Amino acid sequence: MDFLIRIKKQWFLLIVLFLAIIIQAVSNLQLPNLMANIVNNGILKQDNSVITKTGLEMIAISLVAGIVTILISWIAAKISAVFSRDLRHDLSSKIEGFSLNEFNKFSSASLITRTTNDIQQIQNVFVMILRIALFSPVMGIGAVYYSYISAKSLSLIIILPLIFITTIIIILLIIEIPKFNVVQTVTDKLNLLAKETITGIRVIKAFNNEESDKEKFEEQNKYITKLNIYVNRLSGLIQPSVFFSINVTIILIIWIGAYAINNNTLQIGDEMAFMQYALLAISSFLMITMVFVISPRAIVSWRRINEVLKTPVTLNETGLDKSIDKSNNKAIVFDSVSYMYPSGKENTVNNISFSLNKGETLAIIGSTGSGKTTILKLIEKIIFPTSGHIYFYGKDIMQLDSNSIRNEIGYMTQTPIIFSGTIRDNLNFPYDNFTDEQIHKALDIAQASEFVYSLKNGIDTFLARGGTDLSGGQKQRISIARGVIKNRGILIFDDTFSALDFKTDLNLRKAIHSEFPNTTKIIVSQRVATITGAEHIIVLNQGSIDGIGTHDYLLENCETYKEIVESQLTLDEVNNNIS
Amino acid sequence: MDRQQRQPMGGNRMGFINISQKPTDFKKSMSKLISYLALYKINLAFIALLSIFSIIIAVAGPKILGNITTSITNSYIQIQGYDNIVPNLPKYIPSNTSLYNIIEKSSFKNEIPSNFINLFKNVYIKQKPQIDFGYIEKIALILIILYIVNAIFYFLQSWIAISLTQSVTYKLRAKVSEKLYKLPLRYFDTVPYGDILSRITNDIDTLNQSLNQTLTQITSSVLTVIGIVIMMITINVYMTLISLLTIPLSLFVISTIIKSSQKYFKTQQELLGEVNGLVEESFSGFETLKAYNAEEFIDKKFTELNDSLYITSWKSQFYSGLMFPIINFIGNIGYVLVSIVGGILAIRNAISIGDIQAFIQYINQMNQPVAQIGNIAGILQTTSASAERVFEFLELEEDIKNIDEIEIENLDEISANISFSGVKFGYTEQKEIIHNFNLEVKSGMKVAIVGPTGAGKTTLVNLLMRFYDPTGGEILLDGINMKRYTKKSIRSIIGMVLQDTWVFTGSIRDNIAYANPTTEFEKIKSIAKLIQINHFIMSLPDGYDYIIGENTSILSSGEKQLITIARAFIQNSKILILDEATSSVDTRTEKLIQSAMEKLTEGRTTFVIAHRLSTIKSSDIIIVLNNGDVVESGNHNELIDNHGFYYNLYMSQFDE
Repeated sequence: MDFLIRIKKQWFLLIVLFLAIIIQAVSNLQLPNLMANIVNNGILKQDNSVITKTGLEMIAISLVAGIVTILISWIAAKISAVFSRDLRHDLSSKIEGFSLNEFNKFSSASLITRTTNDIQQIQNVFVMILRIALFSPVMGIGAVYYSYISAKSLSLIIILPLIFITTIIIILLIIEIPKFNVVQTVTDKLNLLAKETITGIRVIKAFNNEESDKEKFEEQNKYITKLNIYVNRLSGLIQPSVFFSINVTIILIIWIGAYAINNNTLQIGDEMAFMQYALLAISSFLMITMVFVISPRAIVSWRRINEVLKTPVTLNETGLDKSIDKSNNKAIVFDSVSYMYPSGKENTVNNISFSLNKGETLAIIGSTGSGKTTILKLIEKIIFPTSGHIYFYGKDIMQLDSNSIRNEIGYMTQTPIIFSGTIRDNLNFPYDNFTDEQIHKALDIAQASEFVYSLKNGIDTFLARGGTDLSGGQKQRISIARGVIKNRGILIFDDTFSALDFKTDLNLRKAIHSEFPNTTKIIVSQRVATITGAEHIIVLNQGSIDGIGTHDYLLENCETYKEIVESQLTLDEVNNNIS
Repeated sequence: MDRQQRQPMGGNRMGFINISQKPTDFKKSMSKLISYLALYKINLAFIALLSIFSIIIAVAGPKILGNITTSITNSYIQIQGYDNIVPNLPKYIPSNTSLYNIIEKSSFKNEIPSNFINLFKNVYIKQKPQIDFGYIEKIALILIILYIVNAIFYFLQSWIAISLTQSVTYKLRAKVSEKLYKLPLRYFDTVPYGDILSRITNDIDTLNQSLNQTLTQITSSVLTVIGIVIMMITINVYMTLISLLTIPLSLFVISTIIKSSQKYFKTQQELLGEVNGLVEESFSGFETLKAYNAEEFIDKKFTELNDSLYITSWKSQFYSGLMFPIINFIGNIGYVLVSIVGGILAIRNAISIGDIQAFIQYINQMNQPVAQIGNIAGILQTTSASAERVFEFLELEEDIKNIDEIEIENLDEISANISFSGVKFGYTEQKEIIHNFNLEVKSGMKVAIVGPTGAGKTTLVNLLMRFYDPTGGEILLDGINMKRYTKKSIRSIIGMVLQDTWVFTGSIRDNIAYANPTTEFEKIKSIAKLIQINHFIMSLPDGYDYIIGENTSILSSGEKQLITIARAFIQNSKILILDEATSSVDTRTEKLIQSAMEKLTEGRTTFVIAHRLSTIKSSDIIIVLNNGDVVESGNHNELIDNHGFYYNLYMSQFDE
């Protein structure tokens, strides 16, 4: 249904296509009859003029058919390309409009495949369908009709090869299709094994496990070879049986036709025309079967795409408040906020309440999976509370436009994201146009100046997609520079310092402290040393607050915090060691 | 997922359009490929023989059928003539008079076309002529049998060809996999892994497919066309020439179309790659994208790319879609020409109706092989491009073998004293990373190596494991240069836990027991308990039998690291290397497994590399590396007292 709605937009081209297809089929169908005329009235009656006249007609019709065919290819290509362009665009906009709730339902790898591979798959099949699936039935029906007209007594013969070929193809498909799936699985497995060997070559060598690793690959290699031989041999049956049945059909036509000719109920030319029609009918039929063979893959792709398109977006943002009242002193307030992932069983964060004033620093500490990042995503309005309320400068964020909220925050993710483009582009991301001074300053704060200016092109150095040419720490610092280039009022560091060594970490924190003394800061970290100075420290444990307060308060009152601190060294301990 | 793996299917559909980069040396890679095929001479000979037989039958068929039609036509003319003449004849004419004589002497001569008159020589008044059903039946049955034989031959031929190409593919795949282990580590460190992977997967698959095509289709196409042409010539030279007029036209059109569509397919492929990259970039940076309100920005970029993709995509679809209709069109023209010229020739009695029918069939039969021949260049190009990449990989220089191979038979022979003396090393000749490294490590000592990123810590591990060998100086194991041992021996006495955790598809149990698959389950479990991961493993659906699949996201990097640590416990080694072994484990857990780690390192010569200085405090000696030089060394207290590099590094943890 959705498919029909989508292609309805191109109704005009579709109608032209369909008309062209009818013209093409009808003109192709005229040729055998005209040839019959040449035989019956030209050759047998020894009339040269009939031959030339009919011949010219045939040439004219062939030309028309040829031109129409080119038109059909053109339209089919156009329709399918427009179709996939629009689909690709809709899909990508849809995904960009997702909140993390929806986004996380699919993995990002699978969303990528859907936007590229799946659509390509559909386009390839769609163009085939436009050309073949529409043409073949018209042609097939026409051919059967004309064959019936030209030789009623023979028309039953056509059914024979059709049944024969379809039976063979169906039987082969029934045996083969499950095997095809196995072939795909084994291919994937081979690729996976190869990938594992390449990425793990150090470990494999270190454990002297080359032989057993090789055996695993060898086993799958043998298996896939066996499967391929089996499947290809089966497929090898199709061509000879099609060829066989076509030829036997021709023999039967001539053989049985001879009786009709003897009774004077059939003319020779008509018999020859019938032969052509029979061939056209059979080949149309084969084409239709082929469409059935190739469609399932496209149908799967179509379903995968529709799944994304049909996913309801949780929040409609139209008409939401865009103004942020920055004079309000309560920068961020959480009021019993809980959040559960759509398919989750337990709250990821549970009953979180805190109040953060302008200019204060909030630190969140806790082990992996305790829900630290979830709190940050809630503030960013990338996900929404399942219960409770979040107030941003005094207003409930559900009533605020998310773009306006995000404009006020410099957010630095745990895994740094580098976009392809120059370092300058990355700091300007997406639309800004900062001066060189601003860029230098941001790089200074992020402790990135030294390595950036040692590059040949400085800030205009081109970075590859994903920043593959930078080290983890360098990427992290570029992403920090992006976050701090503009004072957005609130800075969020999501474990941003983890890839940095202690020295750089320290210098960076000092710089941020002196550059943004009055900026509200939220810092997520695993290092106690990073957060001891914060006004509020939240200790998260499995999604719930185990303790909230200053460092000193928590040391006294929070067991979990004490454990974390003890697992990392304290300055006292250092002093004891030295003395 | 890398890009190669996700390469869209646009290219190989129907085997006609092939995307490939041009091989640099077509001849060389093809001749190598042929040398592989040549191993199967007998099979190849069988394939050739069978396909020649089946083609002979296939091309002889239409001619024989044509003869039937001619005979029917002749009988038909005789019947028509008989029915026209005999009822009007006066009774007195003797019944054994030949109709030929009657026609010659009567006004019928004007009614019956002159070149049909000869047909009436054997027709007599007493006997109405009949179609010779006995003859037709005989020929038809013979033909059906021949076509059965043809189908069997055809099938046998593909049967043999398939085993052949599959064994070649099997062999290549096995060789390539074997090669992986023989390559020096330098190769893996310098070549992007996507490239290696695509050679041993995609390229071999392409080779497999195109080999199938080349072997059966091309040869039989060429032979079929030749066979048909021969048959046509035996029937009528003029008609042959006229039918063949269309072949060069077909070939020309097909190769032109392929060329231009290939151009568009290539751009399409590139654009798809770019769209892929953009999508990948924006989806994997989804949160950052949202945080910076960059949806519109990305959308604009995407729309631009999508629009250019649309244009190339419809052009390439258009051109590739033209192929069949145009072949069909040219086929039609041939058909029309045969009908016209055949008709005219038939009137002049230069050709029979059955022969016209045969020609029409031949033209039909020729369409497909001609299209394939038109695409030969493309198929061969793809084949040799893939072959070249595969052979290039197979011919890479392998890891050097030692001259002097000492095999360590018994672990107890080794006391594991290590000494570095004047070791120099650089991954490239231009850039030396380790300048002059000297260190004595007595058996059982715990050595820590610290220093900033890029100081050369991991390089030392590479040298110890003999993943690389020093470019100068030597590393001695119990006084003997390590180079004199086999690599296998060296690695059998060294256990290693790396920062980059590597788990493979298999059960957790197998992953832990990697060093020795026969380890009893109880031992595995006790180790897991020791390092605090038993609880987590038991919470998984199948516990220790849980299969870590391609989707390893169920394991956090910390948990993966614990599994690799467990691995080291199974291995019975003399020397242990811990390269950032607990970097992803949170500090609480790290503290909990501390005693386990101590047990692991007990009695083993141990090298520890760590960022977290807390993990190395108890080392016997701490080496501080910077830019490949030892800046400081000593135990923790000495270095702290020194107030040097280490002191600064250490104190920065606590600074406010």
